Amino acid sequence: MNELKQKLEYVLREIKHQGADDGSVSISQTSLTEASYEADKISMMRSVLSVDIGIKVIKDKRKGTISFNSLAEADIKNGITTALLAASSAEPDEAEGISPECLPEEFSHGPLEPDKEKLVDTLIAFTEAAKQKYPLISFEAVSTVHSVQEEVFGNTNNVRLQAHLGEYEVRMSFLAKDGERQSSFAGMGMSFADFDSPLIDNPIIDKQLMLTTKQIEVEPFAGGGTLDVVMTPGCYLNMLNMAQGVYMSDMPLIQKTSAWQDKLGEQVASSLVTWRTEPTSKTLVSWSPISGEGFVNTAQTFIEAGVLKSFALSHYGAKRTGLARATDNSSHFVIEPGKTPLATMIKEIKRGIYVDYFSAGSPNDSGLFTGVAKNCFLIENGEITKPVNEVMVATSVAEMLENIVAVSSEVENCGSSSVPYVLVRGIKVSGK
Amino acid sequence: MIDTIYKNHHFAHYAELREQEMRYRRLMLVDGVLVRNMQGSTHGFSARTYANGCYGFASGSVTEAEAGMRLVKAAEENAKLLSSKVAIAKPAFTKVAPLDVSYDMDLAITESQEHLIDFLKTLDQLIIKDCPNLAGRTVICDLLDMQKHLRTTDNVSINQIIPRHRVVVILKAKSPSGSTEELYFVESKHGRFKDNFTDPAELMPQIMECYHHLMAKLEGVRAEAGEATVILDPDLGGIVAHEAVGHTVEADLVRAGSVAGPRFGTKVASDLVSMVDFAYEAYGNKLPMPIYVDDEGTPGKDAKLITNGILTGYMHNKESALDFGHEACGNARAFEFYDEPLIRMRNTYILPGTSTLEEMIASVEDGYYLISTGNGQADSTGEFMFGVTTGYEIKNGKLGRAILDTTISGIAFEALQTVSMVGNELKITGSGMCGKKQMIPVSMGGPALKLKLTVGG
Repeated sequence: MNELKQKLEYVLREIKHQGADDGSVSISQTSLTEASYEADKISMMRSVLSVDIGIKVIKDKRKGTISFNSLAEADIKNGITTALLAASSAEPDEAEGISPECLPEEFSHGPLEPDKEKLVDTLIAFTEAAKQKYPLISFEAVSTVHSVQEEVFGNTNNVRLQAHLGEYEVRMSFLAKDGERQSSFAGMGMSFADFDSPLIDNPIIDKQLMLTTKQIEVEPFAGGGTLDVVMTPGCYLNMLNMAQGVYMSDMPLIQKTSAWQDKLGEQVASSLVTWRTEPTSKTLVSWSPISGEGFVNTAQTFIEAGVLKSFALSHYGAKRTGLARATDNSSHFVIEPGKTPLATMIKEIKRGIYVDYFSAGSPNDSGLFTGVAKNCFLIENGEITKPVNEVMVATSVAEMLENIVAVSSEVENCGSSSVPYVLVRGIKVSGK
Repeated sequence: MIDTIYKNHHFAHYAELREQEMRYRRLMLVDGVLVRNMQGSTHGFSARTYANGCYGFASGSVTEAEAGMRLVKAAEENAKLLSSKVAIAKPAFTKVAPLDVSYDMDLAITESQEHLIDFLKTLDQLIIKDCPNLAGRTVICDLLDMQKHLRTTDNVSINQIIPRHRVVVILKAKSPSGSTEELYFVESKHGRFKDNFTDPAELMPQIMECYHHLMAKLEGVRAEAGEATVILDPDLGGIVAHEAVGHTVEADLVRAGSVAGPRFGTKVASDLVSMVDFAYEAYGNKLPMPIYVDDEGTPGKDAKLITNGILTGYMHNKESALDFGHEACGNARAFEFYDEPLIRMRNTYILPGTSTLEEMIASVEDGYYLISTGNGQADSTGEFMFGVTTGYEIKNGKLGRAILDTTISGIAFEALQTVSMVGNELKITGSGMCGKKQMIPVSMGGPALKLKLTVGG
């Protein structure tokens, strides 16, 4: 960390020395250790040490940015010169700037040293246990990972922030197969503070393996209509990410194409939706304490009881639009649970589908999208009856949020977000 | 650095040493304002060894031989740790003949940022002049050079630069109902930016075609959900090649259980369909993603995947080729220096047939002509989907109303068996990015296809 801090000061001095009005720099050093399982065996152990440096310079309100991965002084000098040259070709933009002065802050969180043996032992134990419990499961790949990142951020407004963050993760993709019958691919990732419990005992992982195994009985979905849709936490999380991208982020608001452009303070979703982020959380394993623009991230409420409280604007986006900057743009979503147990939610559905994720393109600017519902089950008369495929959904992100009629009391905490199940009423669904 | 390490280290097992630099420029003008003005590079070294069925890999942002040597030893230690837990007796990889070649070393990005900004500004002004009634416009330059030096213990040494330079134009317009519709156009070719993009005005004919489709889309209607006869424009033919078939015949996914596994040697498509993953050239032309030698040192050869409807090939790395008893054709590719090689597509095309596009449209009584897409996804079951951003109804053999964004899906080997006409023109795109643990540039291509697919509402 000391070396990174010294380089930070060097970069900022050099930025001023070369004539920039303002500048900022972010330097991070990431160490990643990974054990992976592929081709039906423990396959690879990987160690990566990488350094990244990102520099932004502003001169006469013209911006240039550069990134590279060397801390050599000659490369830094060269990089700043190149960034200033790029800036000289740009047009002045009044919205360009750097974060204002603030008190220095340091963050440290999570396991900062990898335990290589534990990574391998955990991977072996999990793949063997999964074969025993779910013999129809075939893994495409499983990885156990430890990552640690040291990051420093500074700018010519005397901002000095640093973070030292570590976490363990498991990532996997798999399907179930029995002779000619097979499921779709399923995938998931979770973050942990430690691998101190067997992964096969984790209820989220176990549920996913179990449901995927049931998917080998899949048959084409026939018919269609307007149905109730139960979305898993992963599916709901994806929907919220889409909403953020299409309605709440810089470009749609700058270009005034967002359907929520004038909706701050207004109802944009069901009153059952409360959505906030927690960048440094006791609930979540993953942290993102520092933003890329040099602010300390603090908890942000985007939607409260269905009312839009904030957009997800960056510092630049806020200055371009005249709207407030989001205090956190991380993906560490903490979605408030509801009062309806999942079992009750399903019991109340005459005909609907239970969806793990949508295979779909990005929604258009209006939030409209059509997609295929994947790892999908039919719900009939209050029961999950059979797995179905070729289920096409046509809707909009806004429509889905508005039509949430129940939120589960259960949440799934995957380490980087905590999200419940939701029941969405009245979605147009079609089949073969 | 690599040559020094190679000469001074005793390799007890098979190993690959790779030094890699990625150089990129990303510029974006949104409604005339330069919101992204970025350039950058990453430079690093990786070592990968293989022993007793286990890979050890280590990488870092190093440029000195001493630091590189430490990474080689770290890779060997990693392989040793794994072997101590799970050693598997596996035969050694099939050796390839020694090779020492360089390709395209003159293709590095040389344009100044100023030149690229001027290019975008000129293009932006042309769009303002010729495309009225737009609600928004974005023009993007996205330039990437991938430079690699690889040495393997088979005595293979290859130096190569693979450029991938794109210009992207996104046009937005508001419909009478107030919704915003959007279409985009991408151009990407192999070679230097200044050779392929000499004059922004040369892009305007295709941008105008995109603009006219956008204006038609403002009055667009929703496609009717359900199974339909569709004519896929060559652009979409390429996506079918990549998403619907390509991923299912990557050997790692075959091994994991993809639908292609039990189908080798059987009929998976109509007799009219043949598909190849080309290594570096086809029909006398160099292709957008030329892989002369892959990142395991395997010389590039064309992989014949489907031949007259029969599944005839998979894509392999060294290990899977050995396990399956097939020939490796050079499909092992890594994106960044810190990535390990995975089985990836290169230039994956359905081969052209004999019908004209006009004949194909005229043959459809009630269906759709689908032209462009945003993205697509595939599945182990062969179920695929892709978003369609430009399309038209076909009624009684003639084009009708434009349709709004929709999705098409199908089960690959079922849909391909319904192909009843194949267009006679092959269109190749070099702008695709494929995601599979790592992103990587790919080229896709196809002719127009007539087949039955499920259309979303």
